[in-house]
Amino acid sequence: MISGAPVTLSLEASVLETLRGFYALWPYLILVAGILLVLVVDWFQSSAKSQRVSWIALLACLGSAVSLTKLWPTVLDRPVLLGWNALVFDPFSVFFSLFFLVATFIVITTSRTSKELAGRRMGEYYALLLTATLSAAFLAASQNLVLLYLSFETLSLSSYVLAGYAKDRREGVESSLKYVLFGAVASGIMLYGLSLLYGMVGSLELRDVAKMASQPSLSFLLVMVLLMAGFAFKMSAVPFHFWAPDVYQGAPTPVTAYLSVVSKAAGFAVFLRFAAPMLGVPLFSQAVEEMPKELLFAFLSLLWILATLTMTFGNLVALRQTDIKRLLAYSSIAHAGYMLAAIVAHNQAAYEAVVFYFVAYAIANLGLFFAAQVIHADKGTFDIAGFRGLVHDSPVLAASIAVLLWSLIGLPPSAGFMGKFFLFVALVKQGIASSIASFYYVLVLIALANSVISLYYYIGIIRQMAFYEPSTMLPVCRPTFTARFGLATAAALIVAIQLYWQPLTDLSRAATGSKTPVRAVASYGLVNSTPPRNLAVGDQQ
Amino acid sequence: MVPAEHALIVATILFCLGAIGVLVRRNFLFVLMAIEIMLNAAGLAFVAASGIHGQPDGQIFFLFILPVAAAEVAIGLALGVLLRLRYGTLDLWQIAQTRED
Repeated sequence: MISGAPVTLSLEASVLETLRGFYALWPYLILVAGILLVLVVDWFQSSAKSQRVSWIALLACLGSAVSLTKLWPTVLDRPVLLGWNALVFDPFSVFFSLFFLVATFIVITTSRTSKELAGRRMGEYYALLLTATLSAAFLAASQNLVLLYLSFETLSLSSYVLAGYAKDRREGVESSLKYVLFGAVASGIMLYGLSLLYGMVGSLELRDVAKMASQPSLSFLLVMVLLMAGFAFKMSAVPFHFWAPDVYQGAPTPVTAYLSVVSKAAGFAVFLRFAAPMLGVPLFSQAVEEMPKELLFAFLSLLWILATLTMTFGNLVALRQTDIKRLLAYSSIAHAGYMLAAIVAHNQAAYEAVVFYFVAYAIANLGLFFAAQVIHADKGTFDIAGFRGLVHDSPVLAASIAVLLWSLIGLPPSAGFMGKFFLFVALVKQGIASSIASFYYVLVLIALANSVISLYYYIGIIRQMAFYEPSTMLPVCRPTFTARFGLATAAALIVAIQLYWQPLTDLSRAATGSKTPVRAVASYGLVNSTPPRNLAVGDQQ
Repeated sequence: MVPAEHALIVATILFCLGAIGVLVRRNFLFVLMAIEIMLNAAGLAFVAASGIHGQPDGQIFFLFILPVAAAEVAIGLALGVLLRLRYGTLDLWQIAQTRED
């Protein structure tokens, strides 16, 4: 009854829709209120007590996260569209918003104890952090190119300032400089791609863009290449990764953790949403248009090459690093490569796997950057030498770091292993179903080979911690109870996910829409006017 | 009356000029200007495309590009001040060299 002709809403129904929209906006409004409050309160505080405003930022994150969990069942039933379909709150965007908020919460708690940030005015810092989170959330929810570009830029602009927040340090200025130059060029290229896309499609809505993809054209591929510049910059994928090592090294450690988790996840989220209809993955509302075979293959080949280069480059260069932040930067480039590899599989399982992988990756990375910060606070160095003999200083700290590294390698028992497992399963599944199986199998083999390479440098740190005597030149590391507790929790989570992964797979399945009941999605067509084509069968009730 | 396609060609040329400028210019301020040219080339393409399609969408997009570009310049200039204070120059090559020392 719904499929086919557009349905106009009755007045009552449209009022209800609007109210639902405002309900969905609550979490974001709380965040905005937090941003403003942080700035205003900081105004009235002395510099010495500036760190206090972090409580407001923490509360804003918490409030926003709680209202997001309230929103979750509603959007699971039926996504909410806002602002003339510019914003869509479906489980995908709500999940990513929640993910960003939890990560931001952790980053704020680590910022509070950071020595690199001590003695600075923190009002702007927390305001920018929350702004970046807000725009990351909107980036995951944007269905319109204007909003996509605006939130992309807001995220970038706040990250530029955050990266150079320690502006009296040489590395701070340098990292900000690199970030601004690379970011501005990447977003400029992306913007040009968007303008060409608009010229071809004649609409700024992602839905219409997806329709355009069903007509074979070389210029569409060119546009995708231009847009990939922007996405790859956010994901820190080759060839737009050059900024990552320097920025990760120069930025204050909490900011580095933020960039490696939230900013990267935002890049992946927007790319997943943007590419879903073209790759043939029904991500909720989006109508799946068959991309012509040759065009799809060309696009997949592009991703294939990017993924291979990204993980191989990241892992090979990481081998030679002696600075822990730089090493983690290259490792995070490599991880972007693994996730890009999963997207090549372009099926539902791949999308789930990326979401799952990101959670595992985020726990490990947030934990490791925090560990680097803790060690730096006592030993005053980010060199790997600081890890030497750590097990004598603090066994809990060393053991937790070892578990987190283990997870990044992807060895059992750890969340990282499950993440990699799901990635490979998605690829193999696609390989079995496809006529060009080796296209996918070779990618799996390359990813496996890369995991073996990464083993070397991750295990190197573990070896330094466990089997070496601590350097006598450096002071002993005495982490506080909170630091040890936080890291032990992260490590426990990593192991717990391996033992009991069902909740997380369910969550990632819900977030990418595999389990959304057909009825609920079909009624979505009411607002959307063009119901998803693949779900038309379910409309008969 | 100039056809909209011509504006698209101009936009492409401008974009390439901007990209070349980013690559070859040594002074940070000129690099910033080249980036601005890239952004504005995209803006011009938006306006031209909106003319072709007879819709206001592209022009609205351009209105949103303006503040973003301005914000980017604001951050860029602030960074320029910091660079000048620290290195005494805005020449990116010189800055890169002092770094290696």
